[in-house]
Amino acid sequence: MKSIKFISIITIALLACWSCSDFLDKTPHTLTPETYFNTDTELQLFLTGVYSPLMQEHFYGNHYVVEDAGGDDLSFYQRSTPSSGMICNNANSSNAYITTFWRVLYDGINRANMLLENADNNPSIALATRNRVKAEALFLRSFYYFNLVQGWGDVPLHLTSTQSVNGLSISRTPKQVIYDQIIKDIISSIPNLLASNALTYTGAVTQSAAEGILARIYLFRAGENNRDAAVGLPLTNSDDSIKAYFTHARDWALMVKTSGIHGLVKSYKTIFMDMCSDKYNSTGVLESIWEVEEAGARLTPTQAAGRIGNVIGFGATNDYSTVDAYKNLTGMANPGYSYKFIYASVKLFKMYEAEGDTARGNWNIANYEYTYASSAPNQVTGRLYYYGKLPTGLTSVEGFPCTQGTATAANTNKTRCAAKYRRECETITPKNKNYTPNNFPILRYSDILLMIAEADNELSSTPSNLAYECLDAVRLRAHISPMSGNGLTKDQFRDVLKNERAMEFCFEATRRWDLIRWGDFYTAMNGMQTYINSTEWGTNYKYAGPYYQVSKSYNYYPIPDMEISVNKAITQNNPGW
Amino acid sequence: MKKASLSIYFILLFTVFSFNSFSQKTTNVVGTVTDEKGETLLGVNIKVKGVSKGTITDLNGKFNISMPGLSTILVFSYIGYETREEKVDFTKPMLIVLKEESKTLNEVMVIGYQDVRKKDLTGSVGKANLTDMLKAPVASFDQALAGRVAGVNVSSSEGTPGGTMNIVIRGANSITQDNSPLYVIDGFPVEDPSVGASINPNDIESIDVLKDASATAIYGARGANGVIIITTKKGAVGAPKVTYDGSYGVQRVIHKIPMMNAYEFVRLQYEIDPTTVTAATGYLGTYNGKTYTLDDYRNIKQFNWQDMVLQDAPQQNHSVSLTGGTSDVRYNASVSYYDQDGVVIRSNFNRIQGRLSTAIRQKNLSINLSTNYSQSTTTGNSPSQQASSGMYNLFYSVWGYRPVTQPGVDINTLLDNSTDPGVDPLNDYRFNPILSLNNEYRKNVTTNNQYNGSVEYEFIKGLKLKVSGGYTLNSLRAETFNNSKTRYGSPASIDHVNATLETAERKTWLNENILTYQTTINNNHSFNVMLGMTSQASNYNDYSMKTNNIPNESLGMAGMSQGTPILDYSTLTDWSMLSYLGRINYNYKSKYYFTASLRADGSSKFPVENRWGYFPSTSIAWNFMDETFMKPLNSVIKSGKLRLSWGQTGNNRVGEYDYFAQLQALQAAQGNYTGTGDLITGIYPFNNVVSTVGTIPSNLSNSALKWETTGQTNAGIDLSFLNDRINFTFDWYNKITSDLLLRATLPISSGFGSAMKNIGKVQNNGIEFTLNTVNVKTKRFSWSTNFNISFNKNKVLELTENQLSMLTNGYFDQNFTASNYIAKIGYPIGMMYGYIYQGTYKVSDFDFNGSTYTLKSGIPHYTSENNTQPGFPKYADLNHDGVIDSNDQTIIGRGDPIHTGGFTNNFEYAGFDLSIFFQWSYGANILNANRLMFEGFGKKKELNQFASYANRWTFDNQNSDIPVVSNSSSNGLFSSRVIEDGSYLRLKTVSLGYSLNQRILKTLKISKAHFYVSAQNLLTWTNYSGYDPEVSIRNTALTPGLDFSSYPRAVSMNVGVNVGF
Repeated sequence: MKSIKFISIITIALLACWSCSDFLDKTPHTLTPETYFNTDTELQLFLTGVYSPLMQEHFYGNHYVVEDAGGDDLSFYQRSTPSSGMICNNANSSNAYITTFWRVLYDGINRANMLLENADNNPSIALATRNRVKAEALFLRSFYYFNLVQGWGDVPLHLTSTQSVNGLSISRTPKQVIYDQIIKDIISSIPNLLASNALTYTGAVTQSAAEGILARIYLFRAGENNRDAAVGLPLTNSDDSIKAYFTHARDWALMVKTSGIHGLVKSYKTIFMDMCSDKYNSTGVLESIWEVEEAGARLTPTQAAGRIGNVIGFGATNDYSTVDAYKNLTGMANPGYSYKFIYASVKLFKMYEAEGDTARGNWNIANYEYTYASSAPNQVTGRLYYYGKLPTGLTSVEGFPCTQGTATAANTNKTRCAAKYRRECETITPKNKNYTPNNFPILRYSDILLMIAEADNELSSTPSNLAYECLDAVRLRAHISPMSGNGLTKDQFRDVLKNERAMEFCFEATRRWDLIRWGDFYTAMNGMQTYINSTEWGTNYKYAGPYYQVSKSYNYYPIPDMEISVNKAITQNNPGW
Repeated sequence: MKKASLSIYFILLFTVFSFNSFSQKTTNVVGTVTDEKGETLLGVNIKVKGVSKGTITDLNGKFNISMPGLSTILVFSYIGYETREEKVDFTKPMLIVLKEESKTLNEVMVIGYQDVRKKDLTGSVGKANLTDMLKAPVASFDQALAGRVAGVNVSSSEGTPGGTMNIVIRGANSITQDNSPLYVIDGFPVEDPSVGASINPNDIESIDVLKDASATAIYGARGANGVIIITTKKGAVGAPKVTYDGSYGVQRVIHKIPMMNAYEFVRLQYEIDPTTVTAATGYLGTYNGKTYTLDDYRNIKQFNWQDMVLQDAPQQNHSVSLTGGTSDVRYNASVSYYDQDGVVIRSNFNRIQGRLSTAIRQKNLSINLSTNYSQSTTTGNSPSQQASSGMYNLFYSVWGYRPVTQPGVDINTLLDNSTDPGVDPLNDYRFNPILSLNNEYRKNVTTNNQYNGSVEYEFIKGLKLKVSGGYTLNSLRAETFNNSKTRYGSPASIDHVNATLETAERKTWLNENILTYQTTINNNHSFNVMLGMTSQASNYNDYSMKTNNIPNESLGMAGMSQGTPILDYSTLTDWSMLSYLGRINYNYKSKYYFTASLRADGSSKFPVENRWGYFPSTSIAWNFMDETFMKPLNSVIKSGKLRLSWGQTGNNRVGEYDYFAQLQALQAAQGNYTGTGDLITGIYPFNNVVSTVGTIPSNLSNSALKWETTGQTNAGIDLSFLNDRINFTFDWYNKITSDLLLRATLPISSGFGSAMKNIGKVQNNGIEFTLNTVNVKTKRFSWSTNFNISFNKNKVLELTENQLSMLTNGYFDQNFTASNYIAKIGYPIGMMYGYIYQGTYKVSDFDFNGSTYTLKSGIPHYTSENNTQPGFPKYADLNHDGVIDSNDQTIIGRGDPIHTGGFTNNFEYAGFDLSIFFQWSYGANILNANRLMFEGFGKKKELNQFASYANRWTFDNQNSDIPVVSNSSSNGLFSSRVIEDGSYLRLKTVSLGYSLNQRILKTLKISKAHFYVSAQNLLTWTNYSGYDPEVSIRNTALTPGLDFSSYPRAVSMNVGVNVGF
């Protein structure tokens, strides 16, 4: 019997040795929300995460600019093998670029919600800091929602962060409700934001940016009936509300104007050269109000570079990033690689031609090609200007000779590369073949002026002095003739303004939305066949014809399958999808 | 204490007697023991009945024993043979013939923490026939397990050398989590299925598969997927015995995919882009004054890239073992080497392995120590697992690379150039496959160290305490080097020459303390009670570093430090588990059996409130042929047993920290594509500061996370006919798994792609038959057959939040992100999903105005597409709304087979042995995604297509149902067009051997010599058009049977020898 006791003691001892419960307690070797949000730095780093969607390739870093907001009447996808999506008229509800755009916007919204809920966790952080962080997060959340409404109309509205794995099927909130919410939120954020001249860079949200975006939101809201009519949805705006939206659009844009902080840079191209060369409003005139920041050349673990200039833009067709003798050079000696996916349409070309707009036109649409040495690495040897495009007296740039082509068909066809973003101007070396530090413009002061002009014109029976003043400021900067004194009717003024926006903001991911809110999208796109059929459209580029033959469904994006398949509260996709 | 000391005394006595043959009055008896074939048996135990005295037979089967006192009976016993009592014959040498015992009833089944005879088994346990399995020359046991045990479905994702097998026992319980069984290797539970590759199959003594809950519940939270118990060989008593096993073989791919030839290829290029093809430098251009026509391509030099990439590959296997010992100390040691080249050039798998085990027995104490070391090295890049784009996968380039060049362009330039100059590198990632394979350096070295030890002490008769401990250390070193001739390291790549080194390490320890008590009361009531507790903990670390722009590529990995560091990756995780368990076995006269068990598991992977899970089971069995009233039938039915069991088991296969909300400072460019698991970085470079990395939420918390529970009922019958010549087992089971641990796809509007949830319910029910027969058994010839078949029906019963279905994308390319699989209530988990293909639009579907074709009104067209043309793919408009859109998708195929099984025939004749093994799978479909890209997908220039695409729709071939060349977005839809029948019957193993007979062996002074030739995968009958129907490149329960660029499966022919000294 002794042995039984002995065994019992051993057994009990063995069983007892792990009964202490902390054996099963493990703490993750990762960050958790409970232990975060304690310092200024942590708030700022979380805010960085809220900004981050903007620079992703899914958004302004690449695909939004090319595939999602691309596909307008000023440009086309320069490949006979189409990309997939809105730009090549072959989108469907499982399209990768539309899905990731949706996803990145909601990621930003959830991040913003989480920050808004936790920013005040530690009251010892200065109130001003907390308020500013919250104001930026609140504005960004609203901006992301505006992008959702602009693309998809009614969408699920999350105003708190996702905490539970259950109950996430949320139905679509009517877009007018979302407009009301985001307008209210932006207005409340403005007092706590920094003034535009309080920052030396333009990548963060400021009061002017918020006011200008608010004007943009009101203008788009005012046009909602147009796209709903196109696809057969019930109209949600009344005449009175439309009038109110134009009024608000004009007034918020005027807030920016009257702040006196901003102006127009004398030379149009400087704005874009700054964006490529890591400068912010280098002339001291704060025209660029809000840019998306991209930086570096993907040479470090932090991949902060985008693809502006590489997918949309102008650079060499040879890659010098691997050639030791050239990779650390800048300027024309190493103009960076570009796929040149986006070409300007003949329609845009002819707008500039009609206005005699050469300074702005020749920047936005390439006026030259590079010439190359015939043997590897086919180094750039100079610029060959298209016939009639060589600026008088220009014989060389950076020591490279400039020549002009003859009046052959190749030089007179009017389908040429979109050249707003030129990798020549990049200063970071070695230049990466595919990744660039080029920032992307979200809001410029010229947009503020043209928004004032447009809204004011809509509110008046005949164009007012204010409308002429704003329109002409932009035209004069582009060295084209002013309109004041021409006695335009309201409709004539509107048409001039539409073309002005095209010439000023082409390739800035706004044209598609302008066409949609004006109700012009379907006719403008399908009307492109006339240009395609003309001799001015290069024969090698005629494949672009089907890219323009969109249906009216294209006024909206399709809600991604990835959402609909699990979000049971969304029962209906957008019309036609 | 009295009893214990008594038994020690007896043992001492026994020892003394057995080693010193003396007694008061003895008479010697001599003799020989043989088996039924007349071959002598070594080491047969011989005891004098009623007295503690005995001996064993020597090398020649002879014995010599002195009979004490009045004893006249000897008892002969030998493992695997029926024990025999014989009256001694003092007059002449005795000749004892031992009969092989009924294998079925006395076979020892290992059921976890205990062994039982098959006769006493109450649960459903399958034993793999190792003798048959080892006839296949394979690297690890799991590669030969398919078709061997009813209810155990074994398949491999593709034909990669050294690839891990996917084992699913009685159907998949879990929708998104791992469904592989728990492995218990010499008592050490391991969840990682790759562990199979670390064991030399020759070291395995037995493989037992626990199938029903009565058997698996003792493994509680980890038993739900079934348990595979592997017991390795212990030493055998006797003189040192050396065995060598070796084989050499060659593998070859018999079935290659027919591709379009040069003529068909050029004709296609013309349809895609007539302008380029007819231009001066095009295929139909002019060279040296000759204008080429299509017909010129009928007999032109062309490449078949498959022939250049696939090779005849050698494999070899060597294994040496040493075993021996006394009844006090036994040892077993082995070393082995396995080396297999892949049929894809530059791929290889090899393994070196060593094992040492010692068993010590002293009085009441027995000690077991064992250690196993293995190092497996896999070389070569996977052809199917490149995650971001399908076009990075090997066979995209192999199939797609063009077979011919334009006139005036030397075809050999295709071999030299890394990419095809006619291909736009941004839309098409084709890369010279020969250059890739020859230059991409991929080496994964997995090292597995296992140390196990146990001490068992018997306090009093029947009462034992076993304390065991184990420690395993698994490590991985993965080396990647991309030189300038590879896709990822070429001058055109982002990273340029680059190298990555990843090291990962998992350390696990285990302690188990098991107390058992076994007793029989009144000779009728047998009890066996077991109580125990175990604790286990594991930690894992994974570090990876990468450098780019390496200047001196000739140094290889050695030059890694000269590059620019670009990506750092580090992970640390840990988990722990604490369990209490108990089981009682009772039987009355070996007729009526009752078993009950309970296990309580606590796991660190769940929040405190749900940490503990309790898993009970119970079972009964009745050996009804032992009843007196059944005796008359005994001449026909020798034995029969009915079994009934019920129990609950669990599944804890979730991430270590899944229930926590987590944040991450995310800097690498994850999430370029649309996988829901991808995260979007937190970078935003304010003021051009590149290193600004923000913090982002990376995991959604779930404080309600808990165990997944499977309840299973099993009923079975075991019958043995005609003196054990026919053995039959039948089982029926029904499993319901609830609170599924599910990596649920979330609406992406939540800001998260997925999260771990407990949702849903899945049912598996099925039946299993096993039939073993000895058809002929004579002295010279024997023929036996094993047949098994299992049917499993899987059904989703419930999903979350009243969801009726759950869609998944079995991902292989960023252009095909639509959902192609569905888990739908009332159907099996992994059903294929998409459109029903109705052939092509025919000219009669259109109005023709002389120049353009306009679809007649009323004929449905694909969603937003407003220029449908003749020859476009046509899908069924299921909801009759005139538009074919996502609402018209439906179930188009099933991923799981209806039944699977195996059929073995073994013949022996005069030293020859022949084994023929068939294995099959019936009823599963395959989603052949290869055909989405290689039977017309957009106007992709210079991309060769499958030969079948030559018969596509054209105005000259209007009856064809293969779509016309077009850029229509409807080309890329998942539809019944690419769903194929994946049923197959495979002649999996054929082995013909010859054993030298005893006479020759004696002259050669060796104990055993067996020579054989064997073939694996010799013939496969299937309708599947891809490389092989046993394929599933994204093998989860949700996405079975997807084929894209899979590694081809080879036929192998081998010769081998097995010699014992």
